[in-house]
Amino acid sequence: MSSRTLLSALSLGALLHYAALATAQTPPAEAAAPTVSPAPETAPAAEQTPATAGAAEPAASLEATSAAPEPEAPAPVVEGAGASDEVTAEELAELGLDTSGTDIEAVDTSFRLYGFADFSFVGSAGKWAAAYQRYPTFMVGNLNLYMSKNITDTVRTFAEVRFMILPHGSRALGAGEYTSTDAVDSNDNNRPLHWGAIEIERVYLEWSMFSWLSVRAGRFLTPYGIWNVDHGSPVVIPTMRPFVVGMELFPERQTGIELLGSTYLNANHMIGYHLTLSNGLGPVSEVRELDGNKAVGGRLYWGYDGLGELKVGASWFYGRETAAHDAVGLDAAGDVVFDEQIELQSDVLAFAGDVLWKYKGLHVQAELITQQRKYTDDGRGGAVHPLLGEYLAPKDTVSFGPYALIGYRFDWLGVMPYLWYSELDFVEPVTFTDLRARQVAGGLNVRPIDAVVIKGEYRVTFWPEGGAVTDEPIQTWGFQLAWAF
Amino acid sequence: MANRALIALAVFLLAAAVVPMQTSPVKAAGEPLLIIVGRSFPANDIDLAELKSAFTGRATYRSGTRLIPLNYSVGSPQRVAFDRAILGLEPAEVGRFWVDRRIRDEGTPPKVVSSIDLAIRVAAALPGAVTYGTTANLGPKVKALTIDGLAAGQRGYSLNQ
Repeated sequence: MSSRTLLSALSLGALLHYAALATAQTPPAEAAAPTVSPAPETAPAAEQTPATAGAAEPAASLEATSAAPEPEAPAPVVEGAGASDEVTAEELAELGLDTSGTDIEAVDTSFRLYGFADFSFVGSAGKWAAAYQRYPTFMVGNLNLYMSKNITDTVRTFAEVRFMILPHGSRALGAGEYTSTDAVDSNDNNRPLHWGAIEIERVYLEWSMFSWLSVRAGRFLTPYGIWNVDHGSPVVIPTMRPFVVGMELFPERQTGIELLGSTYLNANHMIGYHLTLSNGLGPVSEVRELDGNKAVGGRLYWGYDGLGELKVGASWFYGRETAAHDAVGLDAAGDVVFDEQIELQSDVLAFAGDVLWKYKGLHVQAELITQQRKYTDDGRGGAVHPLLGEYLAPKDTVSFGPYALIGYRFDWLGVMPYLWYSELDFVEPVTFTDLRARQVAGGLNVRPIDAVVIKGEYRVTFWPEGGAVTDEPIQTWGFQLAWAF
Repeated sequence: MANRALIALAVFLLAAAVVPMQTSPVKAAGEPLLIIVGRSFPANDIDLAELKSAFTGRATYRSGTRLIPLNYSVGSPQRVAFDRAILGLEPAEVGRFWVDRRIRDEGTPPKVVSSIDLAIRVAAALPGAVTYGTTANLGPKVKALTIDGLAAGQRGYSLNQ
């Protein structure tokens, strides 16, 4: 056991050493933006022609600039290579700027493929270890591929797809068989393979009409708070979401339409908004609306750049969640009818507030998230609980809780020690027991190069008023390697 | 216990691997930077807020023209000075800033050109293209914009160094 683990650890270190050295060659964030080499045989006109550049008389040049005549009609000049002071079509093309039309289009229409992935080593201790992770384990958690393309200078498409090992290996918390996706691979001598699935996290068409108004149509992340939009493992500081975020008091994603925009009020103050109209919540809300009520939501935020970066926001969501199916039958006249059978139905109202402050290396973020859920008369479906043997029906709930995270990133290796604390008051969804969960965690987030993050974290979840199954705290820990590409 | 020791060892190896990758900060030149656009650009002034907006990847318009920001390589003196003054970013923060924005889908970084010469020529030819440089980079087909009504060297000009 020890030797295997040692080999794994050393191999991991060696692999990461190699990968990090390779990645360090270019700034990864901007690597996707095309860079161009100087055009051959092209003299740098402004630098090599002082008379025209005005280098000898900078003050005069500035004055002349200030008094420049009213602008002429845009008339870009694109000439072939050899024109010493003109940009060539090839140079523009290398910058990804489309020059195929009659006029130069100020848009990069290249197709971009990028994303992030993460790899973890996780475990837990105590009685809960069997429920969560009996033995420490390696796992690949995310492989998210981003695709984007500007179709015109105002219309773009964007998609984020997560490739998963799941459903292979999944099981209900603490019990049950592991799901197996074994299939026979006829391409490989009928040997077994495990197939995985994909999750379309985001896909939308975006039309940017003005700086302050864009429209997205498709599937998008619910624009609430900080964590849900950060969402990617290289960006999120801890290894795991607090309960109050993970419980999805707001839907994580929605399918519908989103309006968004932002504008600077002056050099330091910015305001922005999001408005959403969607199918809202529901077991199949990605593709089907199971009630007549569309969900609405939004977010307002204010940003201030005067003392580091400060952002304060407020979000809300209102929608009806319905689980239902149709039963086909005949009415008294013998005509076919499709009868809607509602299983569960509730109205959900959620509010959230968030604050983010970054000042030099200091990083502080906090969110308060609330949700009220009220069941309709027809939608309070109950059932006899298989273990408790009694009839249980869902009750109206108010769930709420905050989390706060504080960290400080040092210049040395991009090391950030951090702590976070979270609370959540909620109703446990199986036994409908009122629960209060408290979580404390501390860890280290190391970002030695921009696109690679190494995290280690220890968490304790405890129940100040007793747990649903046991009062014993949940102790979990995890290491994560996350990278953007 | 053994697992903890092994994990610590792996983390140590990772840390050792990346120590040589740290870059030293670059000192910026002392001359004020100018915001440079083509002669056909439909304004002679630009707001600091518009510069921030454009150079953080947001769709930004000035007098009906969409701005096309052109940047230089991370670490070049002009880039260091510009990122500090306009975006409030130190060189070590720039890469993280853009990785995070791309994952959130909050904008893509401006085009990075390999030389000031190329940036000036693109600015001269492309309506809306905006870059930065010094007086030495000015020529007959480009002009410098004032920022919030202030010219380079004036008290309060955002890119005085």
